[in-house]
Amino acid sequence: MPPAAPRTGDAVFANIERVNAELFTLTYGAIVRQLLTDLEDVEEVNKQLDQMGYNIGIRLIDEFLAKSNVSRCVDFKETAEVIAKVGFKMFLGVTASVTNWDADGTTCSLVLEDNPLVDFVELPDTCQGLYYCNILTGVIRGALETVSMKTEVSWVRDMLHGDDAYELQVKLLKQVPEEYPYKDDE
Amino acid sequence: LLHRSRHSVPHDPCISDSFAPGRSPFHHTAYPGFCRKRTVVGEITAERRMQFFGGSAEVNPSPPAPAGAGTVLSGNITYMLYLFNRHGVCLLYREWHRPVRTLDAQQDQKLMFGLLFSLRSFTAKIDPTSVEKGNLGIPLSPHRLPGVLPQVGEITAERRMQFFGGSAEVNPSPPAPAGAGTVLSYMLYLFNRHGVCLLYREWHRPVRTLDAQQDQKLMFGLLFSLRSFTAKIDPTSVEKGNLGVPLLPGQGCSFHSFSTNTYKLSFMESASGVKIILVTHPKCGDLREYMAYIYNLYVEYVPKNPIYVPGTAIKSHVLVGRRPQTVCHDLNVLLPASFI
Repeated sequence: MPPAAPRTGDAVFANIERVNAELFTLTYGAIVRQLLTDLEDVEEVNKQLDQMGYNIGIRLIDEFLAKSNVSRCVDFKETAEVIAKVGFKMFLGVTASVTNWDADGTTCSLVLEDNPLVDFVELPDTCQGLYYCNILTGVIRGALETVSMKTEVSWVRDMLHGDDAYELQVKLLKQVPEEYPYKDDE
Repeated sequence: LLHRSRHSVPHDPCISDSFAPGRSPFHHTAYPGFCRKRTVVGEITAERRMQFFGGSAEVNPSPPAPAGAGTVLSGNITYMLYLFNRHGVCLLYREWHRPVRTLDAQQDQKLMFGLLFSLRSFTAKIDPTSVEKGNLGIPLSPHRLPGVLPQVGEITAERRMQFFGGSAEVNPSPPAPAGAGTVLSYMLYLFNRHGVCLLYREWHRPVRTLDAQQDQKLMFGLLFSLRSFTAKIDPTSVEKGNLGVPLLPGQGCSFHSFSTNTYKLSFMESASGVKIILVTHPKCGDLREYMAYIYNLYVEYVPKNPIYVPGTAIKSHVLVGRRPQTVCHDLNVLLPASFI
């Protein structure tokens, strides 16, 4: 029998390979910088970051499932808890908290006090519309889509814009069950 | 029948000579009136055998298990019993532990019969060692198919597919593996959630009747339907969709293996829809750890590879070159220790 799924990411985080935090932060900064140079439009950069995050998310989910050994989440509430406690801890080394549940249980907020992507970063006046960490929205969206949940993820608060914490709003649109993929008569 | 007094096992004249007391924890049936024969672990004969499991404490309290019988689960071990004749008429249905029922008795029995009928033809079709195959859809006569043996002694709390009977004359079991030289794993399939076969490896497949494409589709389709069937007839789960409504991966009970007398098929599915199917020698034990190991290998070399395009077949030289040796070697060396 597989061991019970850890509800905190600490055990997994301790066993996983780690990379230097500064290297990670500076690499991400270089990506954003290059996108700004190539695309010049802040909205475009936001979209690209989201798309990149999506591509990362669809691959990252397999690693997450393999390493953390969590079983299928019963409902969206559990999913949000797992993302905040296990997922963020495993990949970013920080835990988030889950707040602001709406009445249906389909929308919640993930609040990050500490975000390794934004160390050393200040946004200049020309880039005020930029969501610097937009890759995270894509990652969550891509990962959840691969486990059959269509979601919408957006930023509510952003410290680089002057708020006191990072808050991501995750909204579950629908659960998409697996379709039998072969449409021909076979 | 229900209230007939229990016989203690060694005195029952119906027991065949091959029964060895103490080998199986499940001596006692609720129906002493039936002539019963038990397979002894590791011994396969040419006759058809009906195998009954366990006893339930409310209807017919089990006599205490004899000392040395191995692990015995307390409480209800048997959930339901169905007896069908060859025309699909349900002759007998008994239940001891069934918290949830979603269909009426008639439909439930039809579903059960239908499930097993289709399964028999599927399992015959994908049998990699047998030359005898009908076309899919043609009914098979009961003697001419790989019999499926229940795995005595290995009962876990999760659902397992169990089938009865065996006919060894058409498909004699392969000889017991001698050691590291014998090939234990036959085939490996890896599917993603869209049914694309990412990886197919075979080590021992004497017979192939379909081309690779159809074979993979068949395998995927078989397991897709099996998962929804097994979730549907799960007697303990409250959560059921209607039959035919696609399930979320991981929803419902997790089907993980079935055995016939010529092969054992083990299945593992991740929440992201990646399915691993391993067809091995029937004597292999529980392969879930090996499949978790394969899943870890997949994760290391495939999604993490930036050149790999998700949804296409795996061509990674590292993975493809490495895997047959690693997996086959591990299976060959480690599995003999875990034989039943």
